[in-house]
Amino acid sequence: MIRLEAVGWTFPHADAPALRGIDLTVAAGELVVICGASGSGKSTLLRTMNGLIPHFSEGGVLTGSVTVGGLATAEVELDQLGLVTGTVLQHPRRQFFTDTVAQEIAFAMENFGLAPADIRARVGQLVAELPSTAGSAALRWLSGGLQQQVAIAAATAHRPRVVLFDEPSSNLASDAVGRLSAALASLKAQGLAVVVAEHRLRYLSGLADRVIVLRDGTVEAEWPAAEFQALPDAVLAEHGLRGEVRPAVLPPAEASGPSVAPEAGAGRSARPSGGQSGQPGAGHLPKAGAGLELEGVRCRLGGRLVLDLDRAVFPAGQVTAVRGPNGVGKSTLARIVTGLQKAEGTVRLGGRPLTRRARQRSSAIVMQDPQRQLFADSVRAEIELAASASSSKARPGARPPATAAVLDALDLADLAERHPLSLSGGQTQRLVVAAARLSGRGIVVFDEPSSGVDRRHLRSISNQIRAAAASPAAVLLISHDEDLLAQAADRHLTLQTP
Amino acid sequence: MPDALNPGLRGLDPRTGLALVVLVSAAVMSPTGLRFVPAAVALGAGLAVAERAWRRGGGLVLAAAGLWLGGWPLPAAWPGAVTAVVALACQFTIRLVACVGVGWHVIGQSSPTAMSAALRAWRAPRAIAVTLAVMLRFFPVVVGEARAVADAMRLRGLAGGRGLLRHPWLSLERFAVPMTAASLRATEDLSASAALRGLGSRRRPTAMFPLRFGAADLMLALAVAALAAASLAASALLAPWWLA
Amino acid sequence: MSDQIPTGQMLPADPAASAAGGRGGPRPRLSVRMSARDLLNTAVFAVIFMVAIWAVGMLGVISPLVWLITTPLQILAGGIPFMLLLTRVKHAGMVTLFSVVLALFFLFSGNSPVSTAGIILLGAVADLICWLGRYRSKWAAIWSCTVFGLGFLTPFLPLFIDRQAYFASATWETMGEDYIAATDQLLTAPVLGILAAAVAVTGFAAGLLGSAVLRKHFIRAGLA
Repeated sequence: MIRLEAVGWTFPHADAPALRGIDLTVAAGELVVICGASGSGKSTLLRTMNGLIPHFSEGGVLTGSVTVGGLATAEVELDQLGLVTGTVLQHPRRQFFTDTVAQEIAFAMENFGLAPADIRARVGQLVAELPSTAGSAALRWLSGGLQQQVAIAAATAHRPRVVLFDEPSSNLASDAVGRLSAALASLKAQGLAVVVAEHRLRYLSGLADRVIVLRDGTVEAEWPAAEFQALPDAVLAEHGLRGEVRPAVLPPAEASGPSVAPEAGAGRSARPSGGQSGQPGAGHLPKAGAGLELEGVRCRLGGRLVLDLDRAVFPAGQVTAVRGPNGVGKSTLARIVTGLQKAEGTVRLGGRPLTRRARQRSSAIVMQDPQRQLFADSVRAEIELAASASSSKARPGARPPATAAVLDALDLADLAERHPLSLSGGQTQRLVVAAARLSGRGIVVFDEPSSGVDRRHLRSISNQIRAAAASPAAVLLISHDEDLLAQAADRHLTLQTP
Repeated sequence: MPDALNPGLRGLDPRTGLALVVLVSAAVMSPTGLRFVPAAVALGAGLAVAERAWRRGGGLVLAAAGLWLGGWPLPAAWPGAVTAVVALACQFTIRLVACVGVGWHVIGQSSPTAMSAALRAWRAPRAIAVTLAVMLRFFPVVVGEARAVADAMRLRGLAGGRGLLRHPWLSLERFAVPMTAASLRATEDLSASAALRGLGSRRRPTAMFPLRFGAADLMLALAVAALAAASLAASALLAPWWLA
Repeated sequence: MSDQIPTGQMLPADPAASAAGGRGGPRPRLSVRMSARDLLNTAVFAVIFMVAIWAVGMLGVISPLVWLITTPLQILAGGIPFMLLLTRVKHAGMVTLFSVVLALFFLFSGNSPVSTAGIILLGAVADLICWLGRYRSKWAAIWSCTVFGLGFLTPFLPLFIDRQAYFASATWETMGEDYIAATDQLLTAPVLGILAAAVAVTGFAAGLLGSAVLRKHFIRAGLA
């Protein structure tokens, strides 16, 4: 169904090829996993199979031959390939084109010109397979797991013969991962050729027929199903892969209020009247006065109560994980703490109440997409810009570290003259963290910093989060990534809808 | 079953809304268009209220009232060169506000699917129908990126009026460059996914629910006709007091 | 590691694509058969253009006096995405498409039909200028940006077309001949000419600055 022969691909302006000499065949009814560290080329390889390479990447050089469902990808138009392939990208929400479940599932069939009656029948059938709550809801209000189920239905509604998944588990909670494996099993049983690019592997154990490990754009290892199932996590780690994902066990943060989710296993099924759901964990706890304190913080957006905290403490020098499903107010909390969002209540840093403006001057955010936060034309200029902002605005008393030292410490010295927008995702993140540390902010928020990174990069990200906390700052870490939380967080605040 | 699958259409055919804006704007912007301004403002406010967008409806009425005060009673009370210029600006802006009041409602309520279906039904060229529909879909994404860049600028102390007045170009560059780069990146997945699912291909697309004018469209057409007739009657009967 | 022999069929699908990076490549073919990629590209740049000028315009909502500062800033802000779009044009007609979809989007959000026609016309002329420069000439791009920038005048076109109707109105008659005469002069052809010249100068500056931003940021970042 898919046949790659000696495939190579070089991105425009790149010095080295991103893929070299790849040979791969995937038969109908087979499920093949492509794994490897970030930057090993697994997403790129997937893009050669659906024709996004070369049709959607101007100026690169493709060598070798790719045939999918009997079509040579370089010779036919993209929509012909779309007819035989279905693709599910990493973030379901970012690939939805319409607003409702039914319209999204119908989208490809409408574009391919199927008869309206057939479209309605097929959409009805696929909607019926989804949980009943999904049918008429607006897409953006669905949970991450349900959104992905819809994305899978939307990618396969036109009955392609090949389905490609790009890191499908990276944004899923653990229960949703179970539903994902069921969906993959069903596609495989229907006789589709399935290719999954992934760095979390354990949930694929019973499904994968072969596992292919990429490194620097070439095949480093290939494990048949039986061999893969027997591999210990230690071997996976050597290849920069993640094995079993275990929920991080963290003591709860000091917090109370309707927005605070009760501790699982604490023996309290209902929220007690006071809402006091977390006691400070064991061990030394810095005095609350040294960090960030929220009191009576309430926020309404569009008439809806989004966040309601009676009290929450984020000690300086520590990393507090902020958890909870989509839409429970994690980003709102981050925006209130950093002064970007108006809210009722008091926010204190080091015991002093801060106005919204003062919070803006005392905080930094490392956004999920940190490209939005770079303003200068070189890495050095970016660092200097951050340093100049700090000299006038930072808290008195806190001395920011020296520019050169920060560049060295974060491994950015070689990149000093590069344009910030030309950096890789990991490098961009390091630069933004560097800027935040330089400006000596007392509050630092990380928003989903590990979206789609492998084990090795995870370590470097958690080191940076630790370093930011040590500066010292109260650090809020918003993340679904249990591996990251286990490494980087000291305590957790789990939110629920108030 | 269609209703369960099709909660988005709200009764009105998307073509009706688009035709309505063009009609309103052609009427209000015509040389004798001032007489239609009250009706257009009423229409815009009515549409906003029908969607329970109280703030938008109220804002429209308030803006129109303010512009009316500046455009008519103000120069009558204090004739002078300054008030004449202000009046001229207000008399023109009130027309823009009346049109935009209807237009923002319609464009805000059009889903990408509805827009492309309407344009296809009008036999607009593929390039235009597809591109406009995609623009509707990209709009909230790019606005989100622009907001995020503005937030990041505020946290870095790069935003604020003083900086803008002292170094307008530098501020602009610091906003527009990351905003453009982030928007290109944020729309990349969407573009790829849409193209793979056949958007913009040279096939002839179909619609799950082909468009059909219905009772709601007829009602709106009658309401608009009544408003237009009332405007004409009012401008004839109440000549000195009606906007003209 | 296997040797890579580029087989003929695997060269980039569009020969123009490989030359797109450098100036002086072959002139892009005149073609209205745009690929999905072209349409999506045009759409994203049109939206970035709109949001950029809209964001700057929001600064001016506070007071009409600030308009005098924000309108030129809007033109400058629009220049950045416009100049970046021109580096990605692969077909003649893409700039026209850009202006058509922008104009229609504005039309459907309440802009006047006259202004819509004006924007499309200016877009077509801007496209022609780029075509004369083979879509790779920096100066053609800057002039194209200048012409397209005149589009910022078009919302006010009805005001000038409408002039007679204004001064026939009852309100103005009550104010006396002097004011009619004074205001009449405000809207004469010379004043329109001065405004157009000011907008054109700003548009030219937008082209120059936009092209500087290309060099300073987007080319170094691999985006242009």
